[in-house]
Amino acid sequence: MIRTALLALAFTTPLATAADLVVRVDNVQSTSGQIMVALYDNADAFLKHPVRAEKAKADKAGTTLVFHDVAPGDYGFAVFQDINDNGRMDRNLMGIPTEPIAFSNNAQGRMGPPDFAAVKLAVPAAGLDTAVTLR
Amino acid sequence: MQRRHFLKAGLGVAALGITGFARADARTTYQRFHAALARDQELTVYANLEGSQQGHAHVEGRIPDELQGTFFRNGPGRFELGGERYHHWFDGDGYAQAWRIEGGTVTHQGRFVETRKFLDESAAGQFLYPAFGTDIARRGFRDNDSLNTANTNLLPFNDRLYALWEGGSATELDPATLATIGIHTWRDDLAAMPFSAHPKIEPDGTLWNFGALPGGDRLALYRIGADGKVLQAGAVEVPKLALQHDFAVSARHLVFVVPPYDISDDATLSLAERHVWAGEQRGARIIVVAKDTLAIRRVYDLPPRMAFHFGNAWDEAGGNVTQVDLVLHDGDFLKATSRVMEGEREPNRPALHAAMRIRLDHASGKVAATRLLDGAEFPRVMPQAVARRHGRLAMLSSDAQNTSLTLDTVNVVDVERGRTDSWRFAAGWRAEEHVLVPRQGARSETDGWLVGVAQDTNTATSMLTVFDAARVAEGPVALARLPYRTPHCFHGNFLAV
Repeated sequence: MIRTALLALAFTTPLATAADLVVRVDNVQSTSGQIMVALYDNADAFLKHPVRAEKAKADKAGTTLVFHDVAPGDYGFAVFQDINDNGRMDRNLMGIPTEPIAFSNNAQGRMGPPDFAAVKLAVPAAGLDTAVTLR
Repeated sequence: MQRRHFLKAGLGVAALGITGFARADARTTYQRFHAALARDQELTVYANLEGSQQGHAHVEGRIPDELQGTFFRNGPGRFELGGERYHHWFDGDGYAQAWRIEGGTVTHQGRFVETRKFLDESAAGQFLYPAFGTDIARRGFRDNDSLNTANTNLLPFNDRLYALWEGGSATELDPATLATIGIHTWRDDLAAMPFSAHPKIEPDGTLWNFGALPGGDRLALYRIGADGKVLQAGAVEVPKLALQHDFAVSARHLVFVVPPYDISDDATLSLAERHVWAGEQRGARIIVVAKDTLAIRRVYDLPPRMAFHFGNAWDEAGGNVTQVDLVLHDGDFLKATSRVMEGEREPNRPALHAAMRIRLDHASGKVAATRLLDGAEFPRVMPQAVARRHGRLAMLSSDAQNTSLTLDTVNVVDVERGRTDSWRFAAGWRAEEHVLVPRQGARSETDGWLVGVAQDTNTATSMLTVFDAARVAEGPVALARLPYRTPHCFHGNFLAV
């Protein structure tokens, strides 16, 4: 009996120490396509090698995506709305994104993406709810 | 999202990571200019403006009965905010103006283009974003359109009205009220593309334009039908591309001049300051693009010259020769357009600013140049002559007797015979761009009027000017004077009704 209870506890332990990162995406101007979020856990990987990715149908009322079981630590994320559902962020002839984008902390660069220091947010053991605005 | 590709777009390698920082001397520029303005009233043409304008002009002389329509114009109006002043004339926020001519009366309306930048900075009470010549970095931004000042030209096209900048999208305005409608995207994949302030409209209504981001080494090209639909869009790679302000269109070609600037990657400088004159090392280049393929046909070498404005181009010999009329400045003229913001006057050296005829022989690669007029700027041709052989070129000039560079003279040059029909305004007057407006069913390039704006800095008033295009030397047939001064415009276009 005790042993069963311990086993159960063991299986649920990740929920206690690795929590949810909830990302609410605002200013969704159209219902076309998916909202795509890529999560990064260090500066070198930022915008190259996400640790996780989520997507959800675009909802003008605000689209919420949840990363379950995220280990506590520093993260940054990048968001875009894949309006035409082609699976990638479209750019114009000059390389400028033509689909709406956002970064964690609502960080903005200067004619380019912000750096990891600006997008970095700490996800505590209790999890985190955060919101960003598409631009 | 690939950072490298995005950054390669240009503009922006500047000042990554610097925030909450503005160059300290935006306040010094403010103080210097105001001290200079107190002793030199001619500097009012570079003064700041707040708010909108609306007024009736008093007509001296007579507006020709057949001249009816609206003269749409645009230029920077706001140079100062929160005690700071921009360092460069090109930095100010766009101020759209409409001079409406109806039944011999003239009314004027002026209104700021409500770009996102203008609204953000108005709300903040201070400049937030980098301008072309002033590196302000108080707030991050998404892209080039976040910096769009819509301050360079006002173009009626396809029954709509566009305020044009050169580093970003066109901004649509309501032609009746000049109220801002918003950013115009010609096609979804062309969002946030640079769309220059100098499109050329051929007599059949086809619009050609280009766009560039300095340091991007890529020239975007557009052909847009009279109905506003994109017919062709592409890009050519041009190494060491710098500020690209204007171009010319012939029947088969697009003609560009790339001045010899190196683009510095010094993150603490503004984009204008990052243009480092390289005229001692290399000359300018003429790039000729074939319209049918949007590919470079030939590149020609020129002496080290800066070019802002083109008049027109046309082809001969079955397209094997292209002739182009433009103004070439000898040396780094970009700097001069910065000095005026501090209240400094530029010495008058007419020989350094010449309207030229350049003949390009695509078979042999030979270039021949002929001087048309010294001290010149703002060349224009009749709308029906665009991309065809033109006989007349209208432009401003600074009289040879001026001690400082002052565009006080209007000219219609007969480019075949080399004759110039000119009128010089009185002392303290300053001419803005004048455009040729054809009479309905015009039979020649002088069958119409030369219409512009002049500022009388003695009285701080502005006026619409109307000359007979065939008799400029006789003086204006009408001057429509406002009881106030209007911000100095860069460019405009007349829409007849």
